[in-house]
Formats: sequence, structure tokens, C-alpha cells
Amino acid sequence: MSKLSQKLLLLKLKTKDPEAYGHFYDLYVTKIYRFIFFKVSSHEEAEDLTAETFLKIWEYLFENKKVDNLNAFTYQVARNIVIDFYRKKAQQQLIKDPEEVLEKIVDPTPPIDKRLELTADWEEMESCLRQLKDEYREVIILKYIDQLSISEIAKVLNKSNGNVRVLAHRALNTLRELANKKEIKQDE
Amino acid sequence: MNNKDLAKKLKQCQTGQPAAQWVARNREILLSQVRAQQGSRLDLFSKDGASFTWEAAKMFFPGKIVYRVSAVLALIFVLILGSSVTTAWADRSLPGDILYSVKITTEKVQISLTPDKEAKTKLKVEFAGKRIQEAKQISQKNDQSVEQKAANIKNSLENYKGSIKEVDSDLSDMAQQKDDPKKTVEVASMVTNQVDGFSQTLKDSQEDLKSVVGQQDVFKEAVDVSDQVADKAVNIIVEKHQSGEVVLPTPEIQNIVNQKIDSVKDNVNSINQKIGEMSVPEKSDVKAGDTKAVTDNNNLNQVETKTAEVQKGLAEAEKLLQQGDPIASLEKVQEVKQINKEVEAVVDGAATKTGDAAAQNTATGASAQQPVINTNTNTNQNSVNINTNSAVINVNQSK
Repeated sequence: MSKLSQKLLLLKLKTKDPEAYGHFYDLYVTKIYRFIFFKVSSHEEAEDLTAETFLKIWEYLFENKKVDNLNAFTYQVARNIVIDFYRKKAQQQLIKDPEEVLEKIVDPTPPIDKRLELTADWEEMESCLRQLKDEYREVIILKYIDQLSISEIAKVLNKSNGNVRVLAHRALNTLRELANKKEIKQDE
Repeated sequence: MNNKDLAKKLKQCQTGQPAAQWVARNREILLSQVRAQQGSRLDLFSKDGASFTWEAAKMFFPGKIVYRVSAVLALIFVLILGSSVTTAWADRSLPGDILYSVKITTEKVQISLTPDKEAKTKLKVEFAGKRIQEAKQISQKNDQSVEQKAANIKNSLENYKGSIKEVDSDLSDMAQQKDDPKKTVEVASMVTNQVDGFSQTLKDSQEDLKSVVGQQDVFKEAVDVSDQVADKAVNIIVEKHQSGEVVLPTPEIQNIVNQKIDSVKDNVNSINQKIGEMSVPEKSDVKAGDTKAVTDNNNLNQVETKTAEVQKGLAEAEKLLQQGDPIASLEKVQEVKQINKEVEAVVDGAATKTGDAAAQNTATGASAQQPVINTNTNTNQNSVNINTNSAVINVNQSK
């Protein structure tokens, strides 16, 4: 979506137009779902947290709070909701460091309608993505899958542009090594 | 795998997709909550509304106040008055008028705020039509210099081409999607009808506009791009029908393709008319030593051959349509159109050189050389020979 389209959509959302909100949902639901999916352990959790994200965004706009960049804002809300989720989970399950849990993601099975669509190639890619540490996985999804700009990613992750560039470079290298190792193993 | 390949692959990510059922169900739930919470919509004339519109203007135009004001006006028109109503005064403005930028901004905002892809395409076609009307209106204005009018007409036609190219791109996207073929065919029908009309308007207005602008390229390009898009729309309709995605009655498909065949026939007739409007004296000789005339005569022979090809091609297209192969028929029509363009280029070239020669002769005081068509009758050949140098056209008719 171009910057102009983003701005226009944001403007329309600020007038509290349900149709515009529906359009916003259509544009972002898959991206936000995927972003959250790689942080949680099941599709059910991803669904709940995605729904919560969209509701939170609506409430934020409804209260006329300031939003500068729709892309960055949307992902920020999603990210914060996942962090809150793990904090609550940690409190409930007495896990010491909720951030640790983010590192230990169990491969969830995809919904049945998507299972058959995934090629073996993409199942491996998903498996490699899950082996990355959360910071790397986040930046890979934001930059290479969802095509956010460096400055937008910096806003989402609360880092500088320079940090994000270095992070993206390291993340891609790590993913590439994992992917190549998998290829070698299969060839053997 | 290197980083570049990996980045490319990630861009096409297929993993981590939500279930379609959940997406739809969740959308309904969210929208019902949103509607329940909505309350009254923002009143743009309230204090909150005023600050909203000013913030909106700053978002898009952090610069000069005059642009901010026009952006605010455009946004108010669209948000309050809706897509079907724009103020009369902005809507009537033409290139060169103060409010023209408001008009264009309003149109762009309308398109951007339209969520439905098909509705966006319809708007783009509607606005493209407005550009052609603008060009015609400018040509009739008396309060602008010729140079100003020429620049404004060219501006309108360039904008028209831009809009039509966007429609072309939309059609390509729609053709690839399998979601709603009926809607795609609906939009394609609308596009072909409207854009054919635009092409015809351009052809009909060409003389008026040419007299101001003085060059044909911008019109030819506008007509060519219109024809291209209208043809693409027809191809989409026929392909969707042939693939079974949409079922249309056979007479309707035949009618659509026949319209294309007829438009080529009309073009052939208008070329023949152009030739016929050039005066028709007796045969003139092409002397062997006159290399220019010989070259021209060779060109003319080519035109003769191509004209015959066009006629043959049209007959084949009609036959293929009768045999129930509309796609092959359309392909034949495309081939024939291309050949016809080449013929038209030579004939137009002859007409232009005649005009240039006449103008030169008038300037030097010499008598104007009339374009000449020599008619010979022989028993064997059909030929159209056009001498582009002296605009001598030899037509040999068989009996």
C-alpha cells in the first residue's frame, strides 16, 4: 500500500467509518495474524490475539489518539498484545522470564484448509523461521515478508534505523544458514 | 541459496495464513462491535471536525497554506458530500483554471477511499471520460491563446492516457484473479463500451483538436491506448466465457466480437474515404529515373497488398466466429488491425505531404498541387498506388 493510500485510510479511520475499518481489516488481517502466529504456540492463540489487536486499534482511534504511521502503529499494537499475553501467562504459570517462552515455540499444526496448500518447501521455511530467535524472526517477517520500511520497523521494535539494518542483515544470514543446512541434510 | 534469493522467496511467503472461515467470522464480529460503539460520526463543521480537517491537510500538505486550503476543500467534498456529488464549480473547471487542482485532487481522493476494486476501476473510467470532454471544451474556448489551448489540451490527453493505462493494469489484475469472474466480466463490459466510446469521440474530434494543437501524435497515442484497453476487456470477457467461469449466451459473445470486426471495417472505410477525398484525375506516369517516385510507387504497392490482406483477414475472422471460435476470431481481428494501421500511416503520410506541399506552394505563390488519384482500368489487378511525394494515388481496378 502506498504512503498516500495509508494516509487516506488513516484519515477515513479517524472519522470512525465502519466501512473504512472493514477495509483496514481486510488489508491487515493476514499480515498481523502471521506476525502473531510466529510468536505463539497455536493457531487458536494467534486468532484470539489478532482479534484483540484489531479491537484495540479501533478503541485507540475511537478515543482520537494520535497515530502517525498506520503500518508501524498496527504492528506495534500487535507486538505489545503478544508481550502482555506472555506476561499474564508467566504470572499464571510462574515462569520467571516471559521473554524466554518466546524462544521456545512448539511447531503448531496449521488449520486443515491451509495444511494441504503448504508445499514441502514452505513447511521447511516455516520450520527454519521458528528456529530463529524472536528478534531475528520479527525483523524477517516485518522486512522481507510484510515489506515494511526500515523506519517503520524501527518504530515497531523501538530501535534506531541503523540497529534495524544490522539486525535485518544478521537475521537473513542466520536464516540462510539454517535453510542451507536443511538442504544439505535432505541431499544426504 | 544466497541472501537475494532468500529475500525473494520470503516475499512470496505462503506460510502462517489464517483460516478463511475464521477471517470472515471475525470480521463480522469486529464490525458489529464497531458499529455498536460508533455513536455519531465526526461532524466536520464542529470544532473537532475543523481541527480534524486541518490535521488532515497538514498530513498531506505540510507546505503552503493555499494547497492546504484546496486539500481541505477536496477532502470535505468527498467525505461529507460523498462520491456522487462534487461542487458544480470545481467540477466544471478546466486545465489552466484555479480550481482544476481541487477537481483532480477530489477525484484522486475518491478513488483512494473507494475500497472496492471494481468500483475504483469504474471511477477511473468515468474520470478518463472527463479528460476527453475537457480537451473538447478547451478547443472551443475563446479566452485563451492558441499556445495555452494547445498545452492544456495536451495536458488533458496525457492525463487521459494515464487514467486509461491504470484501467489497463486493473483489468490485468482482475483477469488473473479467480474470485468473482461475473464481476470481472461486468467491469470488462463496462470498460469496453465506455472506452470504445472515448476512442470514437477522439476520432470524431480529431480535426477540431488538431487545428489547435497541430500534431497528431498525442491523439494517435490516446486512440491507440483506448483501443488496446477496449480490446483487452473484450478478450477477458471471451476468455472467461470459453473457460466456463462465466456462462454468456452465444449471441452475446458473437455480438461482442462482431462489434470489433465492424470497428475495423469502419476504419477501413474511413481510410478509403480519405483516399476518395483526394481528387481523382487520370493516370500519371512513374518514370524509371525518378527514384523518389519509384520508391513511393513501391510503398503504394505494399499498401495495395496490405489492403487485400485486411479484407481477407476480416473475412476469416467472421468465418472463425461463425464456427464457434471467438478467441481465434479476436486474434485474427488484432492481426488485421495492425496491418490496417500500417495502411493508415501511409495514407496519412500522403495527406500530410499534400498539405505541406500546398502550404509551401501558397507561401511561394505557386499554384497548389492537388493530390491526384489516377484511375486505370485493367482486367487483372486491384491495386492502390499512392505516390507520397506528389500525392499521386493510382488506383487500378479490375473488371
